Amino acid sequence: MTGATRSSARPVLAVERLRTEFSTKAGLAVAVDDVSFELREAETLAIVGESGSGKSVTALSILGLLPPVTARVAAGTVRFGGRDLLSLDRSQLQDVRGAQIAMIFQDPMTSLNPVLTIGRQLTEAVVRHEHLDPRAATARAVEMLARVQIPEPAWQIGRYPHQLSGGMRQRVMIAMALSCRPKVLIADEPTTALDVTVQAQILDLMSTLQEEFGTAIILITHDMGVVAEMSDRVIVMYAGRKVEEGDTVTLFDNPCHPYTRGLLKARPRITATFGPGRSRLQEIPGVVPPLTRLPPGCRFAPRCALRVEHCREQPSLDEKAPGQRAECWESHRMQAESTA
Amino acid sequence: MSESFPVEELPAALAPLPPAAALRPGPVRRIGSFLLRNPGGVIGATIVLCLVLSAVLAPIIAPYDPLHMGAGRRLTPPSPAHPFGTDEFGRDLLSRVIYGSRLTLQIGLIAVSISLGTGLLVGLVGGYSGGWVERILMRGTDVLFSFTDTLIALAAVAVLGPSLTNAMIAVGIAAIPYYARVTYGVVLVEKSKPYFDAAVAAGAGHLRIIFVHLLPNVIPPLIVVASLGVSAAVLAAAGLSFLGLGAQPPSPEWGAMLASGRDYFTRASWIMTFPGLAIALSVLGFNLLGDALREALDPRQRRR
Amino acid sequence: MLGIAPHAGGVHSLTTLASMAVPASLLEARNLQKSFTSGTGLFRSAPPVQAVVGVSFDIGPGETLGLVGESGSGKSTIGRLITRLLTPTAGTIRLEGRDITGLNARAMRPLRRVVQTVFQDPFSSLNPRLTAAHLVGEPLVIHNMARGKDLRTRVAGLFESVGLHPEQMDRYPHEFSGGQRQRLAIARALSVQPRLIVADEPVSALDVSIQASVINLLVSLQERHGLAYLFISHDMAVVEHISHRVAVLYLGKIVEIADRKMLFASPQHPYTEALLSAVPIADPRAPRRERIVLKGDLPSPSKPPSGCRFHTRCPYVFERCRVEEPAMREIKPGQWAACHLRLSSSTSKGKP
Repeated sequence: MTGATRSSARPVLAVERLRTEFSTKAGLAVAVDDVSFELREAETLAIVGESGSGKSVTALSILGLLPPVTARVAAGTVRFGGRDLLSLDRSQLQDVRGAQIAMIFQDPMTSLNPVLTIGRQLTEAVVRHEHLDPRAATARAVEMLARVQIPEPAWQIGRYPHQLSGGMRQRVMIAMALSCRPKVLIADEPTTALDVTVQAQILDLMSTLQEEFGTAIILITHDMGVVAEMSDRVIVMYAGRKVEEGDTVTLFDNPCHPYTRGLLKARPRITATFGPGRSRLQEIPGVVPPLTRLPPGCRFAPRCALRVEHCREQPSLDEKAPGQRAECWESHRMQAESTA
Repeated sequence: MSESFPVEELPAALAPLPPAAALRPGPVRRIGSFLLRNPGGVIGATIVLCLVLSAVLAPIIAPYDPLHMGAGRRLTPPSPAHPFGTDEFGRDLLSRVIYGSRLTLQIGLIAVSISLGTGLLVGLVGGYSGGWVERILMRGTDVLFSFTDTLIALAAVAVLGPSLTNAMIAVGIAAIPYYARVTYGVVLVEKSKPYFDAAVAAGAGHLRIIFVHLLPNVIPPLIVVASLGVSAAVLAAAGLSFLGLGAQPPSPEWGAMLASGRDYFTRASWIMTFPGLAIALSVLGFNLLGDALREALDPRQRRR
Repeated sequence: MLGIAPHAGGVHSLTTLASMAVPASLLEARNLQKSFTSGTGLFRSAPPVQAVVGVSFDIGPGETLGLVGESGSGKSTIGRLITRLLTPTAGTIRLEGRDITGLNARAMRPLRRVVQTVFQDPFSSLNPRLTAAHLVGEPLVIHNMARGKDLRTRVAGLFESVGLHPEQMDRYPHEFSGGQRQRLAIARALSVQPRLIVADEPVSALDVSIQASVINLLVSLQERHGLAYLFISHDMAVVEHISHRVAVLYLGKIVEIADRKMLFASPQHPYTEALLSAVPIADPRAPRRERIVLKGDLPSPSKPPSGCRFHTRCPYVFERCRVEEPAMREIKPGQWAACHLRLSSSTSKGKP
């Protein structure tokens, strides 16, 4: 999964110029601003960003899961299976959800219904989409539990979420999501709430299942390590905009946007060989601007070491290298610095 | 990794905060502005204001002395001279209702003060102490809770003797559990938060933690309970007076007026109607105000 | 060697867990144990949860001991024991030579100047109803160290030393960002000039880009003031960056404790190995190293496995592990681990 560029150029999901707005007391907040990307068959696309980046909202917008009154998709299309998901009505969308596009969420404690058994929740999707009778549905549920490596699946079917550990609950979520063999899996911070050893198990599992089922995955995360290990391509989001995209290897080697570089350098790295003492971690000064009071032009400029007058004008998304694009006027200076 | 950036580096934390005025204004202004936007709050506040004004300005606005028998002829219906009519002793009803507002306010304030003061202490000490102190205090509260207010009030008055003051005390005692419970709940929640641990770890003593840390968090929900509690107290006291256990004649307390008007209801319904309306209106006013306060104080706190 | 000035007593001598008297040791924990009774009410049928068992470690002045573990490891409980928010069920804690294990609140108070805490959640670790100035200055008031104008001056100084504008003193916590609130918490901890700060996951709730600045702040404060830290975290990378020595916890026990470099370069305990291999590396070119995926789930702390607590998930488990609990032995100078595998052979696992 790492480094290999998928030759299949067929996009299975195409988001074009998506714009999602929230109305808040402090004004209009554009949580997702003119974001476009493609997801190709059987690939893993990572969406990376910190709080306020809009990465989760993007996922919710795709599946029509935004809160009804305060949020709305103001513009854009989401092409899937020859149709624009944003134009579908409720029942059409319900047909898509679970069967074609599935989603798993961050907190396994609250994503499962505490009063229903695991089995009941697992079979819900297959019964709805494939109209299986109860026995067949249960058999499928047991099979899925076994696939996600839950021991004694036939017995676990009857248990309740609170009787399982966090890692097991997340496996159940994955089983639920994949029970109808969807084409796309959207995973929103699936391992953030888990211990690191459990995270390793879950990520391993997701890779294995991806190979088996050929599912395309949108992996939303803030952890660059997870991005490096799991994804083929990456999108970096900041304050609602996509600021860089590219394939994982080249993006890590040569980031073209100062924010991406900042993210990469901010994390301490465990290295087997040690430098002298403790070096200072690279900080990104300042804070993410509130979405209701964005600076004119490049949103990252107030915090950017490379900023110049020109940055008052919103940079366009330019191709900086084959397959790699970034919204920055000054990328060439980053290249110069890193090779220096 | 280059440290020499061409532009002056803005240290991380020194990014200026937006001007304070643009953010949360002080709690009083917040409440004020919210109440104004909430129709229930406006109505409630108006009613309460009228009540207060009526009580304060009673000597000025009441046309007659409320105790003066024979201010008009007995049992006259509402007329320009006596807008609320007269009662069986010829006393002007309007003046009695106006003066009655003083007693109503007194009842509300005193009874609630007793309940609030005691309940707050019980809840704070019980919630904070833990152990057997907590158990005794909170189980005691539960016991008190299991008796209905009226029963407790009746018992208290039976022991202390019928008078308005005793009725107020009785009603006050009966309501203690509500305040104690609310306080206790808040204390338990706040105790589990890290800032509580931080205070303990810094070496704060018991008194400091209770009064500097817990109290400010306990007060907002209590304000809400108190404003609703005033109406409950008024109603309870009126009930007691109606039963003859509270205000004694010739006091112009509304509940007592209801009681004495009962015999004349078919002939002179206004004797009961106006005090009854006054009670209902006051209770409504405090309830609306309390509801609006609750909305103003609670969810807004959570929304950061 | 680690870029910090050695302090009296020497950092070197503190890398051994020895019972040889190290009078310069700032904090000594010996055989700490903490049990919680689960289940209230008349029927105490549920067995007590042993959150911490037989934990011993030292912290020297000016050094950082990293405490790493996952859920159920007991690391937060240890932090609370050290600051005496909890009382140990057994064992001793010595602070600057004094036994503080059983002290009551009053006796503890003056000692609270020596140890301070920074908590994980920047949102609930500051009382929302008090101003930042009040919060940061409170420890000074409690310990009668400053008042009135002097207090405000001191608080302003503290603000500056953590990189905040003193003009923002009178604002409320919710007006600050997460990273700024953590700085407030640090300023509060610093106010009484403690010698040891117990930091319980201080950066875990912050965005990555903010984490870097807070970590840098903690490191520079340590260098400037000679502070010692007990740095509790589940994040191996951060722990590796900031600690001098690291202790790894599993299910309430320390399974390995060593100098930072040694632990990360050649871990001796299988759990440490697994932990390290589980951390995702931010380098897509890195060869997919042989990741050790632990089988099974974490056992419940109220029913710990027999013998070595880790044996149910250990890839190298053999018979002795199920029966006998391994003792903590010095595998290499400065590196201690509790594992039968290491005791039977002295060869390390061949890591660079």
